[in-house]
Amino acid sequence: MISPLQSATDSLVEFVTGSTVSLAVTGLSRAGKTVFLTSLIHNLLSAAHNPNRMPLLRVVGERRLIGARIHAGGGQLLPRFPYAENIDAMASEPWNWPRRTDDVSEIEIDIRFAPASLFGQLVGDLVGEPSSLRLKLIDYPGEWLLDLPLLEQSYAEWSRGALALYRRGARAAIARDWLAFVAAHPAGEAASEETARRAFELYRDFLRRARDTHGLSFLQPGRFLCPGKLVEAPYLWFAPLDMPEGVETPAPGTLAELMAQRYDIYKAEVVEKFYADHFRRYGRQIVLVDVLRALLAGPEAFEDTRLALEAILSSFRYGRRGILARLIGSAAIDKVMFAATKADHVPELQRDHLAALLRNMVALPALEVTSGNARLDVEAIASVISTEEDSQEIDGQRVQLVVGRPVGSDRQVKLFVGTIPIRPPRREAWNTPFLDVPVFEPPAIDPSPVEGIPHIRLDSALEFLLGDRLR
Amino acid sequence: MSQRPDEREDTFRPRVIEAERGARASLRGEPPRVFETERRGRVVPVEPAPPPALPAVPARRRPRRLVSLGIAGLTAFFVGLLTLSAGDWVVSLAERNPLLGTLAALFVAAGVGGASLIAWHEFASLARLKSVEAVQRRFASHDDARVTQAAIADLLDLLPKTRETTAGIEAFQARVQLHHSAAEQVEIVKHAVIRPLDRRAEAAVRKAAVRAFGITALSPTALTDAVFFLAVSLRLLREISETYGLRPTAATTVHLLRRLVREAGTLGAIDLVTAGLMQHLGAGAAERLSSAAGESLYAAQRMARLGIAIMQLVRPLPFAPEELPSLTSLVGGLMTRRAEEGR
Repeated sequence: MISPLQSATDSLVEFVTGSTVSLAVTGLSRAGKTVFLTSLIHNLLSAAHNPNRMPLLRVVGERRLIGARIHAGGGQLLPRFPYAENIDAMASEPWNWPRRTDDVSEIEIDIRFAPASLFGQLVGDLVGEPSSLRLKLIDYPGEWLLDLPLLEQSYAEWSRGALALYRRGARAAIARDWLAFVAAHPAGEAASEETARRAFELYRDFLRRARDTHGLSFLQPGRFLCPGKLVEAPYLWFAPLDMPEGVETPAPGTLAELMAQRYDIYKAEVVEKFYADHFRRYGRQIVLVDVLRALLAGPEAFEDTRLALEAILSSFRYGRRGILARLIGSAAIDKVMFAATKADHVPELQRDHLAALLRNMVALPALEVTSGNARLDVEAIASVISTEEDSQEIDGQRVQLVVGRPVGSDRQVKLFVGTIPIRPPRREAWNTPFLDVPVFEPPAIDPSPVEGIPHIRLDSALEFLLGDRLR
Repeated sequence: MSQRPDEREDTFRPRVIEAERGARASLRGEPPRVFETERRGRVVPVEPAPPPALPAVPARRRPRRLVSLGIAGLTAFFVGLLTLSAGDWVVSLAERNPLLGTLAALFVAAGVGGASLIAWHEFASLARLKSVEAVQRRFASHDDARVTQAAIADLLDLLPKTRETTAGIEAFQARVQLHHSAAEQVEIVKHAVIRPLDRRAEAAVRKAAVRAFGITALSPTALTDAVFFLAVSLRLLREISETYGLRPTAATTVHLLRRLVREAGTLGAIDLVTAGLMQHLGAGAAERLSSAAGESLYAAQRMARLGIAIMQLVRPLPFAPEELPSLTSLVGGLMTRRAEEGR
């Protein structure tokens, strides 16, 4: 954990030099965080050789970028983000995407550029050095993000909320075994190690099924799905129980008390440390959302994604930092980009719809952001383009669609995603859930940072997030 | 067969008609699906048409260190000399009479304050000019709708807040829609806001050309010719700049003149238009003019060329090649105006 002294020193150095930006890459599981980071790094490193790949990032478009490189860093506490391995996975046969993130890692990019302002040029002339910006990035499993709202909830509140949610709609069917177990073991039952473990196992199995088979995202606690380096210790053996209304503190010696104690240990030892180490000092944030997958997976998954986003975003602080706040290291996020990822799975004509739909999905958290005086934008992006545009005749009408080659296949397939609405469809307008969205293989990529990776509006998103720090 | 009166009443009686459920079109239309193809091989993605890359910012010429050091030394010398002299002056007067010393200190303070105000005014004007140049670069470099929107917002901010401009801005805001592309938005702003300013700038150019013609005809020597021409040019520069929202001070005027000289080469295309004017007037007619009238005509033509070049320099929205005002159109405008005034 970072000590307060180190934190204060870092704040002071950052305040004086103003040369570091911590970018929070936020997204639910499978939203595309790892690929986003890999493409961002590769394209930044390549931009000095091929500025045409990132023209909307003004420091590149105006040819002011001198170069970007990965900071060697000696004192990093976390494992290095496997950028080279990820590029290798995408560039070498069999072409595949980076493996799923199962633990936290970090990387820093040093960007050197010629300043655009007269003052910056004067300072540069005086110092004899170009300007530089250090971009700090962290990758982590998306599931862990959903633990952040737990910090604000007691065990009783969490249990009641979770059970109310899991007893509704499709979740009730997926959680049948676990709900039956909860019905058989009331909160006031005598504490038992064996019962607690069984509850944990049944609950974890339900969470896994909900994520893997039904595409749901709002599943807590995140470490039950993706434990990282966390070994399976007894304090993890807890699950929500049917807590009676009005009861906040379970009676001593009951199963609920045992669960509540473990829940509190989990919060203190796992969630709070993760939040303190990685989320307190962010100044900019990009929230990646796989809007298309949520839309195609049906109303349950769509609503689930919306709820999960709301829950996650309520854990961040938004607004502009004053000088004092910056000095004492109290960070707040002053620019947020909501990005609908995998825009390459949608024909160009409908990409604006994808962004409009996301704007609608995050309307409530967006109010929180803007009322905090932070700036917000919404964009449809693809960190890597893995498809081509094509057309097809359906019922006598020629429609636009995309074509790509699924991973492991030797034939290309065409994906027709229907019409992307600009607001959530009404109840009667939903199609049958479509969960078999093909995973297209990545395009041909030069592993050396020269050509860069084809993308959709990654440069525009970066300009919004970092442009002002690269002037 | 005619309807009975009570049947007609039934037909027009208000009621609710239930629509058939099947007739309601699904919001999302066709369901998503995957089609197999016979195509093998890898996909070669094409990035969505990128905006043209921005022109490279020319590398700033590094000032020679010795020269910079020399200038810094000279500046320090003069500032030091002035400060010490003023201090010495105040102290010596104070020694003779404290009241005189206080008055001298007040005068020095007034002088420093005045100099600071002038410097601030110059700086603000220069900053505004830099903003205009930045907006010009953004319009010249991008066709992305959002970048253009931002550039248009900056442009509207830069324009003078006259009744005419305000009406133009309101007209633009009423016309522009979300679905308009970058080029369409530029076109709308051009017609609603910039065109009236162009007309005013062109009128200033015409007036300056007439003035140059008259002064050169009356001026007794070549030296007075040159002095008058310079004065009219400077006045024209300030008039056109003010039309487009700049308030040029000494530093801004010098900056604009430097740019004018630097870009004279690129504005050489105007000479082609001049040729057009000569054809328009007819070479024979020009030959038949007296020597003085010929010189005056040449001065007026140069002034008009200069005016067009200044318009190009300070107009926040760069001219498209076909939009550049020509000498022919200016002369045409002059004739029309004169004809209108003659009525």
